[in-house]
Amino acid sequence: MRKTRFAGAAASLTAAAMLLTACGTGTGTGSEAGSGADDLVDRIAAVTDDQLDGVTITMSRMFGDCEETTQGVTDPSLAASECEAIQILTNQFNAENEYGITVERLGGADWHSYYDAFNASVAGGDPADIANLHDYSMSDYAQRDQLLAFDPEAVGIDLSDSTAQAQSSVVYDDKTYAVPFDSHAILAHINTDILGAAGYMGEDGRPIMPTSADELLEMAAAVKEKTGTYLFSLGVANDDMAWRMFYSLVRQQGSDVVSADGEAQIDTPEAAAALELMNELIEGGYIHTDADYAGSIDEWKSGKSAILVNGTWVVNEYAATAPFGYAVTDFPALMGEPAVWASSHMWVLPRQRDDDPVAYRAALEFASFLYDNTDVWAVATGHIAPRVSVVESDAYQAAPNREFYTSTALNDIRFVPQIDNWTAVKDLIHTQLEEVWFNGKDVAAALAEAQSRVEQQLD
Amino acid sequence: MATIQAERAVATARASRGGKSGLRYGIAFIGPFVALYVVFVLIPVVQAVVMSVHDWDLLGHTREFIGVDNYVRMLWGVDITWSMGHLFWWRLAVLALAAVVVVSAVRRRRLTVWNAAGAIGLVAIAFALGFHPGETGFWYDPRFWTALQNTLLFTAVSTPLIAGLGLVMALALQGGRRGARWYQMAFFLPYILPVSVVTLIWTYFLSPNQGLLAALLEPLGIAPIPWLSSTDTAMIAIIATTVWWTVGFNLVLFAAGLQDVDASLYEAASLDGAGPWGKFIHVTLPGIRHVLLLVMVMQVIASFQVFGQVNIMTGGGPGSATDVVIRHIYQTGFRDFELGYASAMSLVLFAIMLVVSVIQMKYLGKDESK
Repeated sequence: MRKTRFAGAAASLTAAAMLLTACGTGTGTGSEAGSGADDLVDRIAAVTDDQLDGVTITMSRMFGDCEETTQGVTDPSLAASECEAIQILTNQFNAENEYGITVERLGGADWHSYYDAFNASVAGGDPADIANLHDYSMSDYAQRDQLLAFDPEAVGIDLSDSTAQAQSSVVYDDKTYAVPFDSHAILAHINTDILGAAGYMGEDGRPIMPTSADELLEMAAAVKEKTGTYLFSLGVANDDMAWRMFYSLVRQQGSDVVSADGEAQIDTPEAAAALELMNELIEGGYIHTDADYAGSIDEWKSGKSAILVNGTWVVNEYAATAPFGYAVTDFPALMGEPAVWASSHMWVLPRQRDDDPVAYRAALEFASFLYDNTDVWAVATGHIAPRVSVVESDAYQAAPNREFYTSTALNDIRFVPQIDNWTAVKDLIHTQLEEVWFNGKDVAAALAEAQSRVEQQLD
Repeated sequence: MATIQAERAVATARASRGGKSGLRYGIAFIGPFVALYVVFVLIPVVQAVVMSVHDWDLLGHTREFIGVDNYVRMLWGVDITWSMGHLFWWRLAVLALAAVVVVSAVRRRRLTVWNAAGAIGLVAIAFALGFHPGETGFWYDPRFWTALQNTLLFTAVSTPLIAGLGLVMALALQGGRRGARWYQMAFFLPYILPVSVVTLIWTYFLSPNQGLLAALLEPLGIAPIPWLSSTDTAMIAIIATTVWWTVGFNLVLFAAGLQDVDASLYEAASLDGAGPWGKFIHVTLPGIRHVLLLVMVMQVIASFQVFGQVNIMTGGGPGSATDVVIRHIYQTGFRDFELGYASAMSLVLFAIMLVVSVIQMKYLGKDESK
């Protein structure tokens, strides 16, 4: 009797669980959202200005919280950080937009935890009306029909003004899913006092950068011999900076780790050459592997290295606070053509359960406003504006050091391939690089394993 | 006679009514717990089992039944072979442990089903450790094995350390010493801090460039150590952080347990000529046996689930030196959107924790006095 009861209870429990399983974990709009896409485009286009009056939309973004310093502030020139720049722009839009749209930000997250919160909101079926993503992750959501494809021209967004890289980064499967907001790339942040002592400062007061691997090694040896410091500080441990340097060196040879059509091509002579150059720098004592992101900055700021490998996002800060002569340059072309790892921030419209055209249109108006103000964002943060007209403008060029990485802004940036789950693919390659740097694994063996792992992942 | 029968009937009826109302009260008492337990524990576990046999996409609509493929991906690979020499010394040690279990039980003439099961389990582990990829082979998910290895290492080192230190500190503060309460509070304080604060404090403390520890070691001629970015020291730093953070909780549990030990037993032990060590072994330890069991089981379960401090302080690195299973599960589910595979790994971790907890409860919970 007891057994029967137990079996009955277990069966009921299982049935309940299966029912919950089937009904739970809502995943947004579902496939039906994909149907009637043309109809939705028409309905968005048909939204009138009157319908937008008083509409409130939600926004999720990754730049942290800064309520205390931005409440009521609508003057973008007062922005001194990423968070302040985007929040003040939002305040300005709320105060000045002609439609009467209000943008409310959802709970804050910095970029470390942003994607967890965003994924949870998408999986729960209740994402923000407008959200911010990186270029490498957009395809993960677009291919799952979790983003709205739209016609940028219909809302006054002139993407033809963007760099070619920025234009291609917002398109997936021939449809536009995002509005570019910036590009960010690695640069060479230079302690000119050390480079001067090593004889690598020109008469024009600018650093003399190497143009080949051999010149780099000569420079590294000279810096070490004459100043006793490392050539480079870069985050190798628990950080992506060394990976980004490796990726840049691969791209400088006209290669990539995954081809444009999504095939793994990591076990290549170009990748081996890049990794071997980095190994030479490590073995020569010109860089070391013990620094994480913060440690690399501390090291460089305390005068223990000549060059910090870091991104565009710190240019303003270092120009204002570096305790020594500071200069910034494009990351040097060491292996052939100028090319450097880059990524971007972009704005997307997550698909909503109700597919409300008014909310979509309001979100597009806000995205359009942000696109119009990429100059504000780029000047306030150090990031590269995605628009050619902005990069070439006097105001942008007059901002601290921007003139010294115009080549990166317009020509050298290389975004990572737009493939399914790039982050996991990148992690598989990075793991093998770390096997070389931390466990002494043979370069050929590491690249061979990376190749087979990435093939397995992309299958 | 009739009166007696009538009284008996009334008493039976009362007892019956009392029994029914007692049952009602009992159900009312445990009902809320059972409901919450079912909703928040049992159903999610059943869901996890269902998900683990599916290719289940977090964001999309792929929910394809794939049977045990997720488990195969986790536990198997290409060209996996078995050889006697692989991890030979480790396997020998496990077999020796199995022999100890059997021999000691036979000597005491108390070979139970549990002893036999334990020995068979250890032999099975020794056998399983013989599997490895052949010359051209590879594990499907080598990260799982690295993370599991790191998790086991973390658990094996941190559990006795945190429990032992908690007991030592509780003993040191025992007997109403002056300031004992203050010290207890001070040691307990880190436990109430969130992981973000704890990791922030320790990241600053350990920083080779600006950290307090480097400044303290410098006068001793010790060069700054990159604690979190060296493969040799990262796990040590994680364990030290965890000990500082959680030892206070065990201290309080042990302190409470020590108060329950009958003081007259110490007097009796003194009269029998027992020294401090003898009293500790024969009076204190048996007296706090249940607290010890509680602490060890809870600590092992907590250690197997280490995540926050690793995720924030090292991100599993450098290399994969501090990667742990929960972090792998978290990334698989939330970064790679593979909820099915993440569920399969969760269930395997759950099974390991269950087995270890049962073993602990069986051996630590054994009452020799009975």
